[in-house]
Amino acid sequence: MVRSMRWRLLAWYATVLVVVIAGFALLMYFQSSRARMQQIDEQLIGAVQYFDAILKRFPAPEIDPPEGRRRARPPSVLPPGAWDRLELTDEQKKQIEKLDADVRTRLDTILTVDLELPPSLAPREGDRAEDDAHFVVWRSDGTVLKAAPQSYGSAWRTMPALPATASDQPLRLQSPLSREFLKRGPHGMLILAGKPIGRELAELSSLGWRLAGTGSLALAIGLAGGWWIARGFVQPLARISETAGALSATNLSGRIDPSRLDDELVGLAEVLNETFSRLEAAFSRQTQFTADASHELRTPLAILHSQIELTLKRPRTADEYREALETCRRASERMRSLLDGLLTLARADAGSLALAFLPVELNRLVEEAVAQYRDDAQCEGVTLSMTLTQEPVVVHGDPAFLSRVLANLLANALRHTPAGGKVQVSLSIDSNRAMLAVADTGSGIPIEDQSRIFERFFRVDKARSRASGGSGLGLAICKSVVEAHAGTISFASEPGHGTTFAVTLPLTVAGETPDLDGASVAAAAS
Amino acid sequence: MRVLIVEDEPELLRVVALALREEGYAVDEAADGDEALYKATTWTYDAIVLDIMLPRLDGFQVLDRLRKEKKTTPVLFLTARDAVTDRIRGLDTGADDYLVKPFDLSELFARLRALVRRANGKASPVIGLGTVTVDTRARTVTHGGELVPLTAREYGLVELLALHRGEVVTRTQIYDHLFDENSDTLSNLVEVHVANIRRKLGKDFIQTRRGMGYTIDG
Repeated sequence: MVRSMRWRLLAWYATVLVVVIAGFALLMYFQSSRARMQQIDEQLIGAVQYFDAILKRFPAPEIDPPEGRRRARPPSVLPPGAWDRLELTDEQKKQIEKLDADVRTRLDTILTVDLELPPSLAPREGDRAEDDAHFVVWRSDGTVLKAAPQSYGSAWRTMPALPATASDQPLRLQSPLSREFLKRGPHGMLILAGKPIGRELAELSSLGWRLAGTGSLALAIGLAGGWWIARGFVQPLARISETAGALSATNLSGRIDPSRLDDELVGLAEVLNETFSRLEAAFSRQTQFTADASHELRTPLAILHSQIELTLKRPRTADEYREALETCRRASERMRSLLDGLLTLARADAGSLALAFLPVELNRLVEEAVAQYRDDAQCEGVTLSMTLTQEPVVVHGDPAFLSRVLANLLANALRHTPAGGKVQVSLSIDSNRAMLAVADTGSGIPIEDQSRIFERFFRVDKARSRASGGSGLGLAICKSVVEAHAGTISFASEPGHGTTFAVTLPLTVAGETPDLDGASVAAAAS
Repeated sequence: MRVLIVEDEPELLRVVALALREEGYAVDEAADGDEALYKATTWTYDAIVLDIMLPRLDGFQVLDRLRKEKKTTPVLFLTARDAVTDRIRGLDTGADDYLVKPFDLSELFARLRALVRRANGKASPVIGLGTVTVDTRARTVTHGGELVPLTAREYGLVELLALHRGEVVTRTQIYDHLFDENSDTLSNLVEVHVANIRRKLGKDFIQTRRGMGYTIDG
């Protein structure tokens, strides 16, 4: 089964064309045929009726005088014996004879019945003999009363049989090469009139061939035109395919030009172009990410490498060695943390975070995190506090990852809050979701950076976070982890006043596991 | 030789600066593009080691502006990004060489030496000055075939004058090339070094041009 749109279009179009043209030709042919036949039939029926009418008007002996009987000469206008009694002059005799002759002729005419074809069927000048109409009238005993042409009567061996129950209407006889009509006449006679239709058939045949020929030509031209037009419609599609096909991993810049396309295709072209742009953006994000990751990893590696090389150049004091090793430790720690973060993100992207889904009591999580950072907060002179709910807030999730998120948010808050400031962690329930908030009174996030803080490797204050070992992945990881838990993470920040991060997570209804996105469902809940 | 290092990663800056100082260079440090540009245009360095990824003005912009100010100081840039396009861009903007992090310190030193040599129009690492030979690669000076022990500063001064042999090097130039910004410059420190060198390599090794400076083989 051919799946080509062009071929299908053409096939349907051809079918329609064939049906229409053939239908039209057939219609024409049969109409012609019927009209011709009808005309002949009418003439023949007319002839038969005419004969019938004539025959009905005269008594049988007049029509059909018995063999040998001469027509009785009508008597003279003079009574019998008058010829002799009256002494007629020669002139009078002549007049009377003339008168008698006239009367005789008239009577002959009146009493003689002759049957002939009506003018419409009569043979005309130039007609061929085999096309002439004919008729036969049989007497009731089966003998031929009259036939024209003469020979035609003998062509019929026996009188055709007319079914006794047949109506008075002329009956058409089945005959392939002529039209024949039969009627019961008066005095038990049978009337037949017919006409050969050889010539008509030949003419119709010729018409048929002409129609077939023209029809085929019309079909051929129509198909060719259709093929050509279809090509014009299919070409834009081919162009679109070409443009799309030219895109490759290294070159995603091609776009389909919608200016010359038909309306229906413009929509398609626009959707495709948008898709290509999204792909291009995704690819460039990917490339950028790889470049950034590479850069971030090389830096601690360079520190490590150079420090070791320098230290080994010549003998050093114990203190120098110790300091050098400290530097190495810090650098390798940085690399470890970076690789860890990158791995987590890569897994989150691929949907294979391998989260263990357990019921997690957020109250406890918050208490533990706050306890963990209490000392740091004290060192920095920041007040760390928490507000929890009375009832336990339980969500379905991985406790380790959720702790990490909370720790990250707390660390960020502490880092950006100067001495004397406050950091508050609060847990609440809001319309069937658990809400965890970390609010600080720190420096806030600059307006121009606010749209980018969840980006990978994005740091607001590059120098500072570098010194404290931040790689710029913390919030990106938080976002990925929270979203893998079917949660949301958002923030509100006012530069100079502080920032609040809010995480919402779906609550666990007793016994029910929340409907998590495909990405995290892939994680085995084993 | 006086060198400016521009690197925003504090640990790396510290290590490389220390390494260069141990190697006998006078080293100035900068942690961002603005600081780098300021120092590069204020003082004359023999070479600048420039990191591309810097906060505020990035390395390319620093380099571009430096070249626009007609500063021909040799620049070796450091890149942690593995992209060829970055390297091409750096070289085309006006850098003379590049190194990809992480790099070997010894390679850094060798490339810096080559840069300095090229800047002074000398292709050979060994400079012959009569009976004295200066090996800029080994950073040694031999007199009549015998190795002469010199302090780092003394070697630096000899190397400077040797690279500019036939020219008069002013005292200011000597200061600029031998002392970093953090040094306490007392004007007779140069004389002290010159005197020490004369003692080790011969009275006529360095000639004084009264009121102008010093020269070798002038």
